[in-house]
Amino acid sequence: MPEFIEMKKIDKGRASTVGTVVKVEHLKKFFAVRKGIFSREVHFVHAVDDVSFEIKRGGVLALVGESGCGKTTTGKTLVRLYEPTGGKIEFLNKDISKLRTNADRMWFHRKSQIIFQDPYESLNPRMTIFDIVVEPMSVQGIGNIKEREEAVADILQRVGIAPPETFMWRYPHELSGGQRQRVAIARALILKPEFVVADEPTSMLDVSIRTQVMKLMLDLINEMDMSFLYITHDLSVARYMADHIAVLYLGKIVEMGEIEEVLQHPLHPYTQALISAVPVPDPEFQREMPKIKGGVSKPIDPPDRCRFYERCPYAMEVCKGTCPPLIDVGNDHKVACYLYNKNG
Amino acid sequence: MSELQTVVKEPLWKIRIKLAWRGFLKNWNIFRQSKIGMLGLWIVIVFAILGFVVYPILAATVWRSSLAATVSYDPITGYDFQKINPSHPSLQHPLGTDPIGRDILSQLLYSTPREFMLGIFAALITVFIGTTVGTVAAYYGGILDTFFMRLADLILLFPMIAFLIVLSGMMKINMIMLALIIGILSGFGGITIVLRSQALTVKVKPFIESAKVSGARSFYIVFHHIVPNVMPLSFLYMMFSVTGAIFSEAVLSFLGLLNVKMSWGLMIHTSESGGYLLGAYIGRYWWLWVPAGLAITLLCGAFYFIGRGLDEVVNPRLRRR
Ligand SMILES: Nc1ncnc2c1ncn2[C@@H]1O[C@H](COP(=O)(O)OP(=O)(O)O)[C@@H](O)[C@H]1O
Ligand SMILES: [Mg+2]
Repeated sequence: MPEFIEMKKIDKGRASTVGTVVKVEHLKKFFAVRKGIFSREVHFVHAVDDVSFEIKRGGVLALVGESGCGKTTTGKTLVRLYEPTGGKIEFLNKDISKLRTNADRMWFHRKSQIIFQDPYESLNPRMTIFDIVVEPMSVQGIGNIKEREEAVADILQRVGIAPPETFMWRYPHELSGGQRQRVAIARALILKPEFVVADEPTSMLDVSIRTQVMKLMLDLINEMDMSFLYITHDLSVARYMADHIAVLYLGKIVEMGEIEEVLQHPLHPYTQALISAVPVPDPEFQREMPKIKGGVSKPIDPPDRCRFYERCPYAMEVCKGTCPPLIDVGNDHKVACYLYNKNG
Repeated sequence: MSELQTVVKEPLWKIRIKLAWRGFLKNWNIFRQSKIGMLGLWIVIVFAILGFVVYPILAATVWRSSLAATVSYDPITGYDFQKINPSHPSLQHPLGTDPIGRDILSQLLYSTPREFMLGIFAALITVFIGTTVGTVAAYYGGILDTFFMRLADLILLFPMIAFLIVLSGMMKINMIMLALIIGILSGFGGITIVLRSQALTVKVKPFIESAKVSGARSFYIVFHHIVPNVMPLSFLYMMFSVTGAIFSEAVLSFLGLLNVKMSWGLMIHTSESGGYLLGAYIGRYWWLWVPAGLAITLLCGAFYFIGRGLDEVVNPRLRRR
């Protein structure tokens, strides 16, 4: 297991119970696709299919799952890069699909941000670090030149791009991958947003600097009291960063809860399989976990049954019926599986 | 916080000028490696010096004419009563005179700045329109995109010279109008297709989404993110547009269709319409057409060569390593 898992965690109980920042209800995002160039038939990829969760102030929710299961789509829909097909997203108790006035939209964009996976593509190669980091301020029309310069210098210092004056006027290609991702973080945090989507922000970085960048984000989350949706496919990263976890499989949340609870007592066969796939340092140790077969397919016009049915070692007759609902099994631990919902 | 107040020691505009200069030097060092590009640049520089510096000096000194003189070096109203015109190159007229006794060298130099202006003015219009239309079409897509792309196809297939010939029959076209017409027509032409496809690759980059998440409007995204990323390509196309404009002017003047007092194309037209380019005369009166023809070829070629050199700056894959 990577070394950071052994590091002392910082204030895991920080997720206060004071208020919900993001509340997602029955969120759906379908993409229309054509099978073949000449086909007139329209099909729908159910990238996100009836997903509900909430993130508390200061809380970090890890969204985990294999690639292609809809994590990025969920994140992008939350920051309004995609219009949801259905469902409701409430941000600070406001329904963000009902932001009608420009002032309301600007308010939302001021308080929400996203950090992308690829630091080589998420910074405009023709802009200096200063112009990249200051962009949210200039787009929002906040501060005069002097205040903007100070804010940029301040946030660059805080993300460890120091001394700021030697980096401000460089271009992204003059920085290393880790530095670029720090710049992307600085850019996302310069307006002190309340909610940030981080889409696998360390997965493209060298292993040696991943831990530093994760620690940096954790520090900043604590300092600035932000809420994060932290997308990752790596359970150990999720455990390090988050206090809650939601496991996504083909657009559906299959298991959700407080992170230690879910990782110690995984209930869904898919979660169990994910955990067994994490390398264990002790070679003697053998987890008693199901092996799952095959890979993720695309959820194109999926039938109404458990999405995991084809790969599940415990598949039953009832699983072919309707999709299992997410039910609470106690301790705020929810799972969508008929193994725990036989009478449902 | 207090030590941070001194972080930016220089005013922003100074830093930006320095950055621009640094970027320019970097590109210049790449451009310098291109032999063909440097050749083009040198030709352009020589023409520019001849037209913008040498001609005004000559006109104010040795070519200054008094009313009583039997020789006038004025490129348009000049004459030489002592010679049988057109006269061979001689000491008084290094490139000879034209059929009505005007000094060829003087005409050549006088026209140079005008050719430059025409070419660059037309190219600026082309690039301005092409860049705006290409990026906007790419970003907004939909009907706008379809409309401009079909328009570009149409203009690409459109016989520009033939159109200008017809147009010149209906109205008097001077240099400025010609630059406008060529600039606008080619602005909506092939250049938009090239810049659009470049803009399409920029449009899907995550930094565009980052800007949107901060609340950036489409207008901001097009002009702050997409245009700067297609600008090098626009600049490259500008060089090719200069060539196109100068060449079109030469053809139209040669056919005597433009309302201009003097130009390289017109110089050839004058001798052609005087019958000096017929049959064996073409060799005998070579000085009537060789200087202007060479100037047109060289300047057109030069801007094209610069474009080829810039190609290596813009497309790193073309660079020799
Ligand atoms: N813009 C799009 N158009 C069509 N299909 C898409 C689009 N974006 C994502 N998808 C599909 O939606 C599914 C979920 O993708 P994504 O959210 O990127 O997954 P993840 O981030 O978990 O890897 C995939 O099957 C993907 O092919
Ligand atoms: Mg993804």
